[in-house]
Amino acid sequence: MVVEIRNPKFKSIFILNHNFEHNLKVNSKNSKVLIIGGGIAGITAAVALSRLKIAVTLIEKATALGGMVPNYCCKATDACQQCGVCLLNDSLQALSQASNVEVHLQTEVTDLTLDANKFLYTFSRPGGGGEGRAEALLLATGFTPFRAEDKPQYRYGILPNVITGLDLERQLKETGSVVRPSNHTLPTSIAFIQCVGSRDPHLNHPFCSRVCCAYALRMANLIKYKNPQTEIAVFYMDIQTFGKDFSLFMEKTEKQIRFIRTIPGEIQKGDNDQVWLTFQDDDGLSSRKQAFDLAILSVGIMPGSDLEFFKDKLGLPLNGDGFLSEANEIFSSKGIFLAGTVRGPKGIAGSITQAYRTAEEVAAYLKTRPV
Amino acid sequence: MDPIDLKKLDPDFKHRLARELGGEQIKKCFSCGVCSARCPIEKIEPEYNPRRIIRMILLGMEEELLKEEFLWHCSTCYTCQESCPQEVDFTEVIFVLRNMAVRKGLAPAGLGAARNLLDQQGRMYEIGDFENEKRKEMGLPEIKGNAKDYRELLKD
Amino acid sequence: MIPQEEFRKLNRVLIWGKGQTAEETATRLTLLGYEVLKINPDEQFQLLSIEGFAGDFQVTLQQTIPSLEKEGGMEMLERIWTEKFGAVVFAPELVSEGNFSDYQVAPTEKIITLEEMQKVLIPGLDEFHQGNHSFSALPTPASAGGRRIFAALKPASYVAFLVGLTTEGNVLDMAVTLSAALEIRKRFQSQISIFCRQVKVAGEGLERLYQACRDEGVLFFKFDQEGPALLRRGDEVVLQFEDTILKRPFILTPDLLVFDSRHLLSSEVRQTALSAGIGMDKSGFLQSANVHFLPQASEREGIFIAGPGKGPMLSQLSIEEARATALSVHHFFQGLTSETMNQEVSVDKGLCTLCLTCLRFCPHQAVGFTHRVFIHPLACRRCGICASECPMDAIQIEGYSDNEVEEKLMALQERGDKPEFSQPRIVVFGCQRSAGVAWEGAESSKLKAQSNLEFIPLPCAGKLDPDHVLKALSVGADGILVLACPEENCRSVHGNTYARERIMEIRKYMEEAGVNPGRIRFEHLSSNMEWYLKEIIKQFSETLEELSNPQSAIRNPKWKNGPH
Repeated sequence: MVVEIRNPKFKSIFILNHNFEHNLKVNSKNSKVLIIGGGIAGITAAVALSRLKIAVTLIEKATALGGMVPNYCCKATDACQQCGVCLLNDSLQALSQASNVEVHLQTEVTDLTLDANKFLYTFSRPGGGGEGRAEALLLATGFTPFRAEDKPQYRYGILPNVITGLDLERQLKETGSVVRPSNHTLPTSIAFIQCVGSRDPHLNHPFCSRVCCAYALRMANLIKYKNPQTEIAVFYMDIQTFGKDFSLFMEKTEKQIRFIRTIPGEIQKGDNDQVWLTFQDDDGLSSRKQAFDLAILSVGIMPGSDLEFFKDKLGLPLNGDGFLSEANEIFSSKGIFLAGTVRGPKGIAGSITQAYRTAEEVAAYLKTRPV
Repeated sequence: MDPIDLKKLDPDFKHRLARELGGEQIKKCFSCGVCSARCPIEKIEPEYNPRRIIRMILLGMEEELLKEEFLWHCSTCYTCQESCPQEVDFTEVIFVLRNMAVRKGLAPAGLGAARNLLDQQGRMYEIGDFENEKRKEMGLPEIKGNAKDYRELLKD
Repeated sequence: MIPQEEFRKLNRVLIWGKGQTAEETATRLTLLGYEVLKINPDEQFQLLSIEGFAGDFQVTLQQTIPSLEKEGGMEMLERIWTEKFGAVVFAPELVSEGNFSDYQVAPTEKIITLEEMQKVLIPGLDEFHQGNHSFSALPTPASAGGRRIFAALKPASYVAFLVGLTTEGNVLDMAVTLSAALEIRKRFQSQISIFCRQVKVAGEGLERLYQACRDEGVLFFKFDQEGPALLRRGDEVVLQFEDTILKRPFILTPDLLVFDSRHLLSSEVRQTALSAGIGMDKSGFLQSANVHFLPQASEREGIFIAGPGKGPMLSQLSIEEARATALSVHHFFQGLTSETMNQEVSVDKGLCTLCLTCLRFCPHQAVGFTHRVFIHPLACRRCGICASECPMDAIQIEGYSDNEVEEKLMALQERGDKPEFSQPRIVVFGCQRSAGVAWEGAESSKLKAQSNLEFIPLPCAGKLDPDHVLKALSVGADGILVLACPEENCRSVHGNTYARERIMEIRKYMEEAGVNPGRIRFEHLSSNMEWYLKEIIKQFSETLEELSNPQSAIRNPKWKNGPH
């Protein structure tokens, strides 16, 4: 790279020289990228690479593309709340128009070896399987939601009216309303409990999941918009910033939702399938019990279950939080790339940005790859 | 209530407590209050509040805290310790606080009396002829006060 | 229609910004083979306007040079010139202003900003955000201010950080505060208290950093509403506050008080964005609050937005933004950013009267004119707002032209009054990218099979044309349903709003024609709300049945023979 300072007196203006070539196209012919995971990150990366005329094989173990996002609801009230769930459809549409992308659904990679900068893999799918090779590997295998059963004090799976944020997403997506699972009536009071499984060194999850404040508060606003009489309390430790115009969002949210800075100790069964939360009241000095019609556990983003497989097969280090390590150079020098929640908690927008960034890295790697 | 000057408190208190056996995790607390919400004693005696006790430790309110009678209310059920997301061993912390209080001579008077009894008798209750007669009726051996051995044990 | 090939794409990119994102974007684009000009927006350089279209922008720049040549003081030399670029990237840094006025204190030796603290304490902060969480031995600062700060940091001294109290906190300030606090504890053993509303830990490694601070004995005071009161006592400031856990009053007279700052877009960048038609959010940061512009797009094709100008972010993310932007720019040059690019947009020269309504309404600044109006094929996003607004119907979009829509409506008429039409006939006009997706969804398969429903896709709800609605009514529709994206979610910014406004207009026509305006309904619908689509159609059918019931008081007898 030649840097030419056009005006030496003022260094803020300079030209970077160039050779007028779309370099990424060069040398990437005949190279194939294997993307494992067809969620928002995998799809976005596949589209971005295909636009660079790089051939992509996208392997997804589920029956459909989209990963976790198809489980989420649109959270628009009178206006869009910027959850970004609708972006999946844009990505899927772009993928359907992309050339050079082979999509394999219901397919699982059964073996994977790295041999002289080539990835050799075998895969299985209903009615057969096969093998393939790729010059670069992009892991976009996503995350596992926290298992709410692992916080037994909240009686998830035992009390019908204790559900997770993910259950709520599905309910809202499929029916547009939230009901108490016990009797399918509208709840008049709802408690959201934040940080269920996150920020919890005791469960070996010493990290913030970064998305739970966003989804919980957006859904709380949505419920409030649909049924203004619903009383909603959010139990939290620290509300995390998300999205654009966050302070305006909070201003509005604080007006209609009660925020209590504490984590409830437990949930007990009450009359009429109500749930009783015991918590330290922020206003007083002692703990109290309060009944709610419905409790929603804001479960976080945990490392995906298949990370161990890649760790074993490729010798990839997991970081202290259990995700694939951020030490990117080690990975990229071997042709292994990461995008999305496989690298740690992030939302839809973050996954999309990272998929683009990773696609750029992959393309740059293929260009300079030792042959 | 007169405001407390943070500079007049002892910032080293938490570090000293953390050096004691069982107190190591104390500084990890981020005041979520799960301990207090689950504490059975707090339900009967709201004065005893683990979250507030930890807060007093972190702010360095040693003098005030060690004098508090509520330190002796804990039933050591370990529920707080089991449910703490930050792995604070609060029941152990209570033991540390009690030990610190005793060292400063701040333990409740009743506890001092009990200690003296132990020191003198080797037991909390004095064993007299009446008790030994009863034991004999039940075919149990006679017990004699043997304070010396216990004193040995209570050293330190 | 001018053939697309006539429009050139200059292989040059202007990066309007400074700092990590701008530099990284410049580097990546250079490696991709583009000629890059990077200009730092400051008092010296101003970007006055971005004229022209994607691929061929004319950017007018102004340089103000202080010259010493003249006697009797400085003379400012001004140079204004225009350069051509294929694409422009906005990648500015934010400017920080100490929050002193919010707290009503003046900066003194004992009162400093977080930025000052950061500069003397953590020169390697960028590395820190990259994941290198160990600090190398820090040099004693060279500046007098820095030495003063260091002198205040003794084991016996108390340092208080006030962060995220008067403005909503952010992850960047919290990261700086936590790393500064940890560094001071380790290096100087001073007592540290952090006053905030929320500990922002939604960033790589920040929860661990928060934990490390607590382990080191840093105290955190969290507030729900009001932060500490600041009282002046001589030249000292006393913080008076209630601890929210103990509910007891405290005071602290810190030896060093560190305030957060307000992070703002510089006025130069704001001006440029306004003049270039690049949106900002309500908080005054770059990029409109519209998810469809994620990650780097703007209202205008060929203009991209990257980095902290969008709002404070960790430098890890700034770098990510830069590389993602480089790729987006590259995609743009390859002509592959928009899938609808090949749909032709034509302007009928015979019909066009050069009234320039299209130019005023275009949200993407894709309309230009010489002796005639043209729609720039690279700048156009095919929303069709211009086509609907054109009073002469001179603009047509392939696939959505008046003829094509009318053909579909005529087909509806041909089906006529067949007996299967026991249910009300509804024509649904919907944005193809939201309602269209919901309509095609599996859940809607029953709806699609209903012969009384006709879905007419629009490229954007903003393409809704009153003529088509009236036509639909005249060929036998009992009701018209218009589906647009939720507010602030329109890919063409105002398409949904225009649609809503046009419906109000159409209702007036309907009333005049004696048609009950209840026969047209407008709803917001996003692509994954299939349940809602079903629900709306069910409800609307009921309304229409009610309207057509001869017993119903709201029925309008004139409708039976159509509006004409």
